[in-house]
This record gives sequence, structure tokens and C-alpha cells, in this order.
Amino acid sequence: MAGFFFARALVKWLEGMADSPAGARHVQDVEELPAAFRGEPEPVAAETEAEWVFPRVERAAMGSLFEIFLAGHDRETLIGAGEEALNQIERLDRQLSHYRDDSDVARLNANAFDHWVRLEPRMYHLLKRCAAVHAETGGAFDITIGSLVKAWGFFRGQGRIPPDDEIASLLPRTGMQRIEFDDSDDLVHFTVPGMEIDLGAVGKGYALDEAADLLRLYSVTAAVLHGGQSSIHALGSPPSGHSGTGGQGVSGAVCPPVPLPHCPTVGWRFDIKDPRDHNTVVETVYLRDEAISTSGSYEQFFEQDGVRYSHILDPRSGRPTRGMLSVSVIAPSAAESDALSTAFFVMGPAAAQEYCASRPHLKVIMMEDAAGPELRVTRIGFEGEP
Amino acid sequence: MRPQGNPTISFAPAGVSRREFITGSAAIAAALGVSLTSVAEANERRQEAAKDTRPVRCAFIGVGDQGYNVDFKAALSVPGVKMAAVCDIYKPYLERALKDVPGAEGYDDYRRVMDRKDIEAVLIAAPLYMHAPIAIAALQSGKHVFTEKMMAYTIAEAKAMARASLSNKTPSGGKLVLQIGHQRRANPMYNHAWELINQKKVLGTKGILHARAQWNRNGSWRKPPLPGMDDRHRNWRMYADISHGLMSELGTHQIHAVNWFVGAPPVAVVGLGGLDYWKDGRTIKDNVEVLFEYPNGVKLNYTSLTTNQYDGYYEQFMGKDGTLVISEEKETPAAFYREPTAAAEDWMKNSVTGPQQGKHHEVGLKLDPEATKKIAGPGVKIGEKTFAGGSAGKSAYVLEMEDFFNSVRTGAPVTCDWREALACTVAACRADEAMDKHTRIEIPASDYTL
Repeated sequence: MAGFFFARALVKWLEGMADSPAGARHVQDVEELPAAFRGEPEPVAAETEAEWVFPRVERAAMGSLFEIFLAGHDRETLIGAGEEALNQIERLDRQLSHYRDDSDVARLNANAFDHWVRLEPRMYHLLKRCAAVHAETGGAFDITIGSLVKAWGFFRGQGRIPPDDEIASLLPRTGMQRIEFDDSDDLVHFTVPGMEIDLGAVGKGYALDEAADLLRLYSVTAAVLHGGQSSIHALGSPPSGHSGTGGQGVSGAVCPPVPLPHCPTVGWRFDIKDPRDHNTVVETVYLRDEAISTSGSYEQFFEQDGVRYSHILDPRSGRPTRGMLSVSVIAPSAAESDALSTAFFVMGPAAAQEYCASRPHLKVIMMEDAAGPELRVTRIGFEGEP
Repeated sequence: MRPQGNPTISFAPAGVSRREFITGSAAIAAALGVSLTSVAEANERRQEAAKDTRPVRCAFIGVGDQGYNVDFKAALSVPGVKMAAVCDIYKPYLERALKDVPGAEGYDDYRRVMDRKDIEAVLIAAPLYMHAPIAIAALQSGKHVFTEKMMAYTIAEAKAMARASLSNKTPSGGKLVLQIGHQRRANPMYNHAWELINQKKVLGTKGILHARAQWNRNGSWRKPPLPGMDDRHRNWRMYADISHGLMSELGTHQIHAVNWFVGAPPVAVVGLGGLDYWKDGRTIKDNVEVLFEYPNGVKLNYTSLTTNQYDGYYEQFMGKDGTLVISEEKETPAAFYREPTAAAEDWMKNSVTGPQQGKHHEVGLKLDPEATKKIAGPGVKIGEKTFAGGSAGKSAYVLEMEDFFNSVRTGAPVTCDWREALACTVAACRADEAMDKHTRIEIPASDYTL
């Protein structure tokens, strides 16, 4: 009997995901199911293990739809914790946004050249981590590209091609090596005027990590959090005997999970798909207390004179990156997977392989934007791969 | 009549003669010791001192939702602030905060923090009923205090805090700072609105005649349970013996703004409220409808609901010539609607970012929603408050904390002192009393003095 009810719960969850527009529904779960599935006592179930419930909460933030899938035994508590986690994401949106004039990013951009600016510890450490990735990737990842992003019309714009001399004039205002840090008081200083930080490549991941930490405080042991599907944090693993799979072929790369019965319990399951053909699964991964992020040229771009310009800029040249279709990175945190998926997209497969050689905790799937039907895939960190 | 343009807190109890009112008002103003001139001078000093980053060793008590996510982070955004101690009775909270400040020591008993001679200031974001005991202990041990709003659970406790701040001294014999976290005072947009109403007289020469404010939500207002924490600790806002519920937690922010803008605290209150929907074991009211009476017939109509969120929150100031609204509207957080009978003034052409139409076709103007951009330069005076250069991009929480540490370092007047905060405590307590007794409460003048 339990199996039948569980399947119905899954169908509800699936339906909710498939047709859920941003912000249309606040909370959605398995209300129509028997009492046992809402965590309420049922005489016949008294001797069995507590039943699982799978509520879902969502909210628009950071220009994306954030969703949290929770698994546990008490529906109200799970939803409450999920809403608190969404509150946390909303707070971080206010702190990290470059669209607000009272965010920490705005405070830095307005003042950090004139004088040293202090940041609260977690934000400071986020910037330090960004600086480390910047150094380790030879500048392929860089959060100081704010003025370039604006020049290319990616900030509230439809895209434009700036003249060469404009790009040349902005490059000296770009580069994390031009930021000074003072650990004694968490101070930040820009050494050049006009530098602008844009945390677009790492903010969602950071927010998901912080939200997941809050869920852990609430003793949530199994959840999946994602921001617009491009950044996903998998907390714990699905309930025993169940697993998850990304069945919804939206933009192809990574999709939110759906728990399915009778799968091995090694983590939440995600299917990484060919962005050009959603029926082709390139790789299936199982994540447990890990994150996956995908950067893709198929998602955000503009076209002019038959040329497609990706929103992912190479900070070293000041121009959109070309050559990659999609890069997915699995890392212990979503901030790291976010930063590295962007970096590897810019660096290309050979440099990414070199980077990962000394970092066995990373897994990477890279798909190249080549002509012809053959999809060129590079796998890094998977068993059986070089 | 009410002194125009004077931000000093003063009031005329209803029913007293004009002469008595003026006498009383002057007496109160003298007792409060605030005047335009001194505020302006203080702001000059404050601006000068903005560069002072002398290290201040602090203790933070109560690192829960608001405490950690807002106040703790805001305090640690101020240069020179050194967190030397963190205290919370809930271990996971304590551990979370300590991770951010590795040099700090953790405590589960605030009294032990007071023994630390190296700590100069204590920041409190504990539940309301703990504000007074912790603040008084800190002041008695010679430490400056910032505490979250509302000031205290009772009027008597709030007064005891104020007295403790006046009768105790720092170890070196200096004055103690006591600031309360009604952060609208530090918000450039609110200062801008104050300036428009009280200096530019956009509502007319008689200023505010009526005010409306509300904070409506649709939800239980309950925090989800945390493992190992009982509900009285987790949901202390739900229990009437330790919280005034909607009045203290939401209402006082807005009443503070109205008191400030009107220039006086309320003199009487009537109200209806009840526990009518969320009968889940809570003892606070889940809906309040309160009318406050101010001097000269000015009234504030205050509503807070938990079963319908229409129009969210706003503060609305109404005068003969127009209405100024500050709300949670994302695109138009502040707007001015001119009455058809009023003439357009020149300042409007310069002060606005775009036209705004009122619901009933009033001529409306969108006020500068990004007032902080004005403070990108060398500093600017908005209303009676001078924002130092480099204030651009700072949230009201950060500005509020900067003001507090500036006061600690230089002795400059605080942003929200005990007088303003006591007035908010009085409003919440007397409103609750009026609703409980189903009667009109005349607020005695003695409520507002020590």
C-alpha cells in the first residue's frame, strides 16, 4: 500500500514542477494524500517507520526562481524551515545585488577606491575565495567585470558590441589582482578607480550554501535547493530506498530532482543532458552534500549579424567566450561549483583538466560548441576517465 | 500651537489649555534637552568623527534570526569593531556566530560577559523581555549599550534602562551611550521624507494632520521549531506575558516614524484587537486596530493584521496640501501625492524622478527612491541628519551601527536615544492596555519622563 501512496505523492510533486511558473504557487505538496503522508498518525502505520513527506517551497530572487525540495516527516516544520531558508536567500540577494543601491556590492563599488571598506566576515570570506579562484585560474574567473558587463549591455540591457577602444579602456579597471585585502579587520580596497564588482557568477551558489546551512540548523537531513536550475545544492541524501532523478528536460543541462522509488540510495540523482537534445542523457550523477552548477552559452546570449555572443565574458580579453556549449561542475559547495563552471567555460577543456589534476574532489562535464552532430564531451574526475 | 519645524519631542495632553500646553511643551523640551541647533552641531561633530576607527571591543548577546543575520553582520561592517564575546543560550546559534569571529569567546550566560573588563560595548538582540535585564547589567558594569527595539517589555523597565545609562559611567568616567534599534532614523529615505514634510512643508504649513500606518501579513507569524528549543524561547513573540506581539514587534517601528515626523508622542489611545484566528496556543492578539491621538488633533490610525496582506506595510502622512507615503512598494518606496487644491512648488521639479499617478488621479510625484545616492559625495545633510561622505550603498542597519560606534568613540548624540525609544514603548504598552480594557487611555505626561 505504501508504495502506491508514495507513487501518487511523486506524481503530485512532478506535476508541481512541470507546470509551475515563477511565483505562481507558494507551497505545493501532497495535501490530497491520506493522513499518513502528511505526517499524521494512522493506526495501522503505528508500528512502521514514520512516513516521508515531500513539500516544496519557492520564491523569486536574484533574477531566478529558487526552489527547495524537502524530505522529512513533519510537513509544517519542513515548510517552515524552507521558508526561513528562502528568507535567507532574499536577505543575501539584498546584500549581494548589483541592482540595489544599498547592497554591500554597491557600498564596495561606490567607496572601495576612495577608502578601505569593511565587510561582514562571511561576505569578506566570499570575496577572498573569489580571489583565490581568480589566482588559481589565471584570471579566467573574475568578479571585477562589472563595467565590462555593462559595456556589453548584459546589465539590464539587450546586448551590444562595444568598440575596441571602449573594451581597451575598461580592461585596466578589471582584475581581482587590483583588489587589496586586509585580514586584520576584513577590509577591502580597490587600487584603481571605476572598478565594479559583479557577483553574478557566484552569488546564487553562495546563497544556496547559506540557505542549506540554515536548513541543517533546523535538522533537515534531505533537501535539494536550486536557483534557476543552473546552481543546485544537494543536502544529504534522499530517504532510504528512494533516489532522485532529473526528469524534466528544460534547458538540458541539469534539472531539479524528483525522488523515485527503488533506486540506490547514494545521493540525489541528476541527469546532465545534451542542451541541443533533451532526450540524450550525457551523464547521470548522484550528489550527497555536494553542489552542481552549469554554465551554458545556450541560456543567455544575444545575436548580431549571425554571430552568437555569450553572456559569459572572458575577463582577460573583455570579450564573450566562444567554443563551449555547456560546463557542469560538481564541488563540495555551490559557491565553488558556480565559480568553477564559469572559469572552466572560459578556460576550455585542456586548462580545466590541468586545474582538476590536483583537486580530486571536483567532477566536470564539458560540452564543446562544435559544428556537426557529434557532441564533444570531456569528463573530468569520473571513474574510468583519464 | 505646535512649534513648526521643531523636531523636539513635545506634546500637549488632550483637554489642557493652550497655555498649559505651551508650558508643558517647553518643560518637556527642556527636560529632553534637544534643540535644532544642538542636533546640527552634533551632526557636524559626527561627520568629523566619521573617520575615527579606533578599535571598540564588543560583546554580542543574542545571535538568532535578526541578531545574527542582520545586527551582528551590520556591526561587523563598521571599521574597528572587534567582537570579543558572543553569547547565546542556544548552542547552534552560538557556534554559528563564533565561526565568523574566531577571536571571540562564547558564553551561554550574559552575566559572565559583564565581568569582562576589556569589553567596551554590548549589543543586544535577545527577546524583548530580556532587553532590560541585560542592558541594565551592561550599563552598571560601565559598558555602552545598543539594543534591538522595542526598548523593553514595560514602561518601568525602559525607564530603568534610561536611568542606568545616566547614573553609570564608563570605567574612565565618561558618559554611557544607550541606543535603541528603531533604524528608520538612520534611513536616508525617511530623513528625506522628514525634510519634505517639516522643512519644505509639502503637506502644507500645518504639516501632518492625519497619519495612517499598517503592517499587514497573511501568515501565522510563527517561527518553525528548532531542535532542542522550547516554543517560549523560539516564539517568544507569541506570548503576551513576555511580548506585546504586533504592537511591539511591528507597530513601534512605524509609530516611531510618526512620532518623529509629527514631532511629538501620542497623548491618548483607543483600540480594538483580539486573538481571533490563530488559536494555536499563542496569547498575543493576532489583529490590532488602534487610534492614537497626538497634540492639536493629529491622529494616527494604526492597523496590523495576520490574516490578510493587502497593501502590505506603509506609513502615510496626510496634510492639507498632499499625502506622503512610504511603503514596501518596490518601484515607488516613497511617493508624494499633491491635493488638487494645492499649488505645485518649484522644488518638486528638481526633487523627483518621474511622475506618479495616485489611485484617484491626484497629481503625484515619485520621491527619490535612491536617496543614498545623494551621499556618494563628500557628505550631505538630509533634513536634520548629516550623512558622512562614503555613506553611499550603506543600508539603514549599517548606518545605524555606524552611528552607534561613532557615539561610543566620540560621545556624539545617538541616532535613537532613550527618549524616542521610551515613547515607542509607551505607545505599544498603552495601546495594548486600551485594547485589553476596551477604553480610551489618556497617556500621562509622566510616562515620557524619568
